Amino acid sequence: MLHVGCSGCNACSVELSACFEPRYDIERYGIRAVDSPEYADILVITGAINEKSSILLEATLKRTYKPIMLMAVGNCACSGGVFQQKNNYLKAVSGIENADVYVPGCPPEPKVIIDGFKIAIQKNADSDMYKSKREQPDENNSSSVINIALNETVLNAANSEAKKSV
Amino acid sequence: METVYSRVGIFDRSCLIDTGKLIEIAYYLASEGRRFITLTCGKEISGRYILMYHFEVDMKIVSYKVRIHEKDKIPSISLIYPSALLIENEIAKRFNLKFAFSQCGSQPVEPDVKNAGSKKRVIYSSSDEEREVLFGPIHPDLMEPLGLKLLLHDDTIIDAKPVTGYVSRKIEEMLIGKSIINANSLIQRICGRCSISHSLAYCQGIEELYAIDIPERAKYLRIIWAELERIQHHLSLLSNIADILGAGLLSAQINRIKEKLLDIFYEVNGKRYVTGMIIIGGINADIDRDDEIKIVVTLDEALSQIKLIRQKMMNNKIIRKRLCQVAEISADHVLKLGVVGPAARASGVVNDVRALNNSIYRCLDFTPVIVQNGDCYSRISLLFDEIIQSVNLIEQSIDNIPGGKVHTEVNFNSKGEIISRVEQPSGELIYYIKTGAKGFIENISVKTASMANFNVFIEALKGSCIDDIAVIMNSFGICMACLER
Repeated sequence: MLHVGCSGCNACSVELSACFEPRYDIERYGIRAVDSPEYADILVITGAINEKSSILLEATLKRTYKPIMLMAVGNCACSGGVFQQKNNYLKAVSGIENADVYVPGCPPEPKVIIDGFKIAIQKNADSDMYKSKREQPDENNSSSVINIALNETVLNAANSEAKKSV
Repeated sequence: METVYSRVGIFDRSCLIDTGKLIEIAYYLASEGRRFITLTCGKEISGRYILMYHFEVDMKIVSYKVRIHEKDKIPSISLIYPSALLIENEIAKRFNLKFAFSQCGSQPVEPDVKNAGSKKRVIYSSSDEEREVLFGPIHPDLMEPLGLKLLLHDDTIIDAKPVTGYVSRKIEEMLIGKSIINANSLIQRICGRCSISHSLAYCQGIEELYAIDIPERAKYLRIIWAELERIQHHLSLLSNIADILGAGLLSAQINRIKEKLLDIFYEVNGKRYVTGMIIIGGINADIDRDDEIKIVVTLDEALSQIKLIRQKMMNNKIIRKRLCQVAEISADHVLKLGVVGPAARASGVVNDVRALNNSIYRCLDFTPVIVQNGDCYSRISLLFDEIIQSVNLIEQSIDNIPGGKVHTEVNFNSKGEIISRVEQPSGELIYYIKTGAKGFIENISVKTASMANFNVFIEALKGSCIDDIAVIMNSFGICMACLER
């Protein structure tokens, strides 16, 4: 995931970085923070969006490889939050592109953000749009939230070695 | 309706002067060594504005008012006080005014202090080429967008120009016209890491203006929450610095301690960060004896672990090489450029709002901590010292806390203007509030510590490595949300 911090008050970014710390470890679910948009599968957006920040966000979206998921964390990114007013120049993420997962809260706790990632992973598994990005799951194996597809050659090699040792 | 000017000497006197006399007064005050604080602008009638210049004289605030028309050219004081340039730019953009350098020459401002930055880097490069690189607004080391146009000579910075404006939400314009009680929810969200200090400055100002006496127990509780927030802010800066320097295990250990502090906020209030503890008239929720014991126990355990982490971090050879003599500022820079907070105290200059005579800390035993040698290493060791001092202050206030109520009733039946000052975790925070009839806000202006320290941060980048930008930014305590509120 890549974190794009737009014009927010910082509380949501601090809670997001607290997800990677020992208490709410999120790397055990397979989610890793990357440094550039080309490697990202999911963009996490915190904070409301300014005129200048919308240029930033569109520029990072151009650099990503499609398909990509968007997740909006915090009240300000979901709907404008406290800054909803007439004649105001702040808008939500849906002003630029519709997000896949919305996580409300001001700021949301790390537990709630991890729940949002779980929903994003399930959406990835269920949807047709993302099927070309991963291999087809094996029907014999038991299903889980994260489908791991084993290579047949690796399985055959392991079986033949087991037979030789016996 | 009567106009009320301050009651306890925070806002001592304000007088009306002509624009011609402004430069004379600024020269006189600068020659005596007085500090420039901020500049506020208010609209009187369409086309006419009133500017107020605030200075600090003998620990009190003195202000001068200037009446202008929108087509006047106002003389700029930024050649005398370089810290005024940022504020003048903001006011010129917001109200369409023009500031002129005509009386002091036509050159743009260069601050008259040299040799800020690192001196120790030796460059082993074959060519003398300089390249221009954009240190982008989005960077994995930074939490908030900040653009820097850098002139590099093979990894060392020669010149830096900031590109800001990505985090501006125009909160001051949104607050005009709101009722006094409803403005609190917007003010807490200027910055999420120091939200208690912002609401504390606002509520203290309004209580001073309307002569509201809050109960004794509320004053001690405000000290406890403010100091807990200071510990949490310093720990988050330290864990960011340790993460960037490569000591991932240290940053994880520091965060483990910080989570236990956040549990205290969660159990009393239900939220970890933007809590809303401080309201006009006192405190939102009370704590009982169990909570007090829990605070003392967690802080005692945390203190011994923090001392161990300090030993490992500050005595490590690699970390010392990356931090010593990097981004050095002297006491001269502090006085001429108006630096506040831990960045000033690490260069040997006493600058702490909590030590003033009229702050709520006068009932406790408090002296500001000072370190010499204003480089990154001393600023970071000052952060550790302040954590230890905050734990001491919390224990003192829990020993002396009286019983009683936590909240009083509130009535707004006049109008007036006032300035209030509070020590934010990263420096001095100043609010100018002007209220109108029937309890609405007419004008408000916020000056944060990040605004005061930003110019020095850009100066101190010269001579340092491009990998150290985020470390230097965290050691100064600069928060972009506070800078462009």
